[in-house]
Amino acid sequence: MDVPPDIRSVTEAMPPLPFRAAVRVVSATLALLLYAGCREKAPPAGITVLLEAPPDSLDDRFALTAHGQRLAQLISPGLLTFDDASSPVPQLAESFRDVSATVVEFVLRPGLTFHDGTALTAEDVKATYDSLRDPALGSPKRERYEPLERVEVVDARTVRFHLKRPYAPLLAELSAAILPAERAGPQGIEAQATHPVGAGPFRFESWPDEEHLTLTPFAGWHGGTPALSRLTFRVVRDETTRVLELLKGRADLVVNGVSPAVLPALREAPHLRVVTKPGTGFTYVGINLREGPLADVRVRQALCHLIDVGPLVEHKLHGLAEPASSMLPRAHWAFTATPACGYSPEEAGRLLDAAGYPDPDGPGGQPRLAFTFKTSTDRFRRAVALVLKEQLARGGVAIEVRGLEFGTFFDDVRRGRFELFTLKWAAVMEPDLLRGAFHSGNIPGPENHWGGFNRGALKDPALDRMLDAATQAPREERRALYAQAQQELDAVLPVIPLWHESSVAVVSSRLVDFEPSAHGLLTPLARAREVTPSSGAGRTP
Amino acid sequence: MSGARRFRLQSWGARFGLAVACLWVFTALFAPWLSPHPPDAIDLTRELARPGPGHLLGTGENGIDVLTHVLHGARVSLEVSFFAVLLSGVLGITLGGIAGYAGGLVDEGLMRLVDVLLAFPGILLALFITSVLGPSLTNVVFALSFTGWTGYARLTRGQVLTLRERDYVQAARALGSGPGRILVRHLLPNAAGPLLVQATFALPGAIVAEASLSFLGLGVPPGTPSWGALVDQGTQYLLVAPHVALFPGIALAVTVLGFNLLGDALRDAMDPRHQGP
Repeated sequence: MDVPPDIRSVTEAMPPLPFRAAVRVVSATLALLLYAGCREKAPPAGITVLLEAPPDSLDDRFALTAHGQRLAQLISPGLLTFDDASSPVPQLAESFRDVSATVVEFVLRPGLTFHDGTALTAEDVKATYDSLRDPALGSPKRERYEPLERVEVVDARTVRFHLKRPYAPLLAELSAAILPAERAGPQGIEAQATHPVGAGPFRFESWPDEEHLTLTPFAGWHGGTPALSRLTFRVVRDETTRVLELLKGRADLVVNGVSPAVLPALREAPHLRVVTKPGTGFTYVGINLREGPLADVRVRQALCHLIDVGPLVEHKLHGLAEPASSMLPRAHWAFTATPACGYSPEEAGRLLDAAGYPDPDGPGGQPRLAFTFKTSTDRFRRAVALVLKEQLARGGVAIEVRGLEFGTFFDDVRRGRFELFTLKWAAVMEPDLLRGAFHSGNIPGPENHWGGFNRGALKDPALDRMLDAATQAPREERRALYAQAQQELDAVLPVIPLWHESSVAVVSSRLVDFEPSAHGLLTPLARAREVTPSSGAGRTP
Repeated sequence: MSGARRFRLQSWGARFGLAVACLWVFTALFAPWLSPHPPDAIDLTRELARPGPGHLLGTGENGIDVLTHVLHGARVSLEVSFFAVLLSGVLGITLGGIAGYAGGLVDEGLMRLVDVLLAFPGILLALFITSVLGPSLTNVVFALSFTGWTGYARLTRGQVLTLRERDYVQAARALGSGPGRILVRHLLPNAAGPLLVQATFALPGAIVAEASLSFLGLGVPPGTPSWGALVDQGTQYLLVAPHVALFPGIALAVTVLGFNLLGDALRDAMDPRHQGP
């Protein structure tokens, strides 16, 4: 049969067979690559935890960020840790006791070993705390150990801390990571920073870049080998991406990294569950007491009466917070219930009248008072500030909300360049924080490099005495002193307490028995179990 | 056929752009009367509600009405872009005219200053200025004008250099007109076309810049309706309330597209190379 000329010309124009075969192979390869690229990547083996920011260091002596400290605790825990009531409980220590007002004795658990197989002894504890106090090491936490005079090794399992003077808050600092003695000195910084070794439930495997960190379970952990095959931490800064990763099943855990408003979408996913626990974070309105109307306690009380925390907790935080009456959360061992101001616009009006700020022209007209309210550019904080603006306006107090870039905002707060602001303490554990935040010796200034936490400049000698006494008293006495201090703070109102945010964990069905810590710690991972989809049973390590 | 006439009759882009511009200006001017709610009204119980009766475009953070904020956002973008373009234009045309007419050291000095300012990315400089001065409409206008005038200055200088040796300018000079009069009466009117096109393109640039600054929390003060701020708010809730970012995003995109098409049409109409025989 004759081939039509046009078809023949096309056929003749076609390249020889080997070329066509090559084109097919290349096309097939491209298609395969495209398929591979479009296909969902399998999640890494084990459990994947998403973090909002990378750790600054895995050496607890240098870690200052929450993520750095929490990850360091997984690798290298301390003698003590804190339970949900913020009470110190033994971790590597088996027990501890006060030998005298200035001597605390710790007995280590038997058979403790580091990840490299060497035994953990009292010498390691001494070397760790000596290094923390050594100026040559340059730990930013050195100042915290100023009351510590020396560390004495009694025997291989017993160590004593000798203090210069009675100082109860030191116990909170004895949760520092215990390192092998040979790594504790300045010569071990590099090794500990790049390949940390500790005696924690998870051992370091790799940290190729700041976005990824892998740990594996440690069989020698005194609490038993963690039932997770591997722990991968991945930094995902954007919240929407974190949520999508959870929904797609590419991540198993996010702790305090999802806004309350987004949680309903996650609750609907069958493979996810949202677990909450009352938390210790404290959100408050800071007040500048140095001058002006806010120096008058009646004005501060009036502002407190105008703020209705209930709707904020119910709608903005979706119930995942508890209205605060004090810096200490309700579950804290030193908490004492105080009357708190409560929402009462009528009482606020009466107080403002008494303070000399009558309403000039009735409701809705000219304000009685006007203030600036500084906040960071964080969306949630700005939104809260706008609600507070609306609530205060109803009582005749006008506020201008200024959202500033965090560095500028925080510098203004430290240097007292504010009238009102809002901030949050990430976790309130040691009640001595009250002394940091409200003692007149802690007003920021050049002498403390603007580092004091008493940013509103409260000067209350009676409160100072209570807080000073609490640092040297036994625990029961401390509780009574802090109760008095909380009542005094309730009366003078240097800050307006808003709420304690809950600890919220979004957990995949591959991770069971994970219960979040009130402080947002990651240590509950040591007790959690990994479930493989096929078996549906907990993995046996 | 004059450029203006071609622009009116033939360009669909110009028609679309003009319609968008007119709608934008109308919305901005009458936003308080068009809005169903006051812009500062909040209702926590209706936070992130879907579009429906009472809130045609839904609600956003704190229960604000999205439609109200989109309408008032047009007002803010008009204020910022108009004043930023006006300030940039006045400054740039004045300095560019002086540089072009005076020449010599004045020209050298001014143009090197322009070079220095152009070396910095404009939005980065604006970010720096607003983060130092704090968020406010005035500071945003100042930040956008700080580098915005350089484009006008270069364009004006070029136009003046081209026109200043023309016969009618020589004649005006021979008749005793001073430099100021020559600039204002003879040179600038003849350079008006390209400058108008420049302004038309600068307007959407300023709108986007304001939205970008507000998106980053450094534009308008918190609570002030702004498209950028609304998009910023919405990105956090894309999964549960996509409407919060969607509607201001559409408003922003359509307005910028409209002005760009208008600018294109104006440029074509003013450019002799695009004119028929």
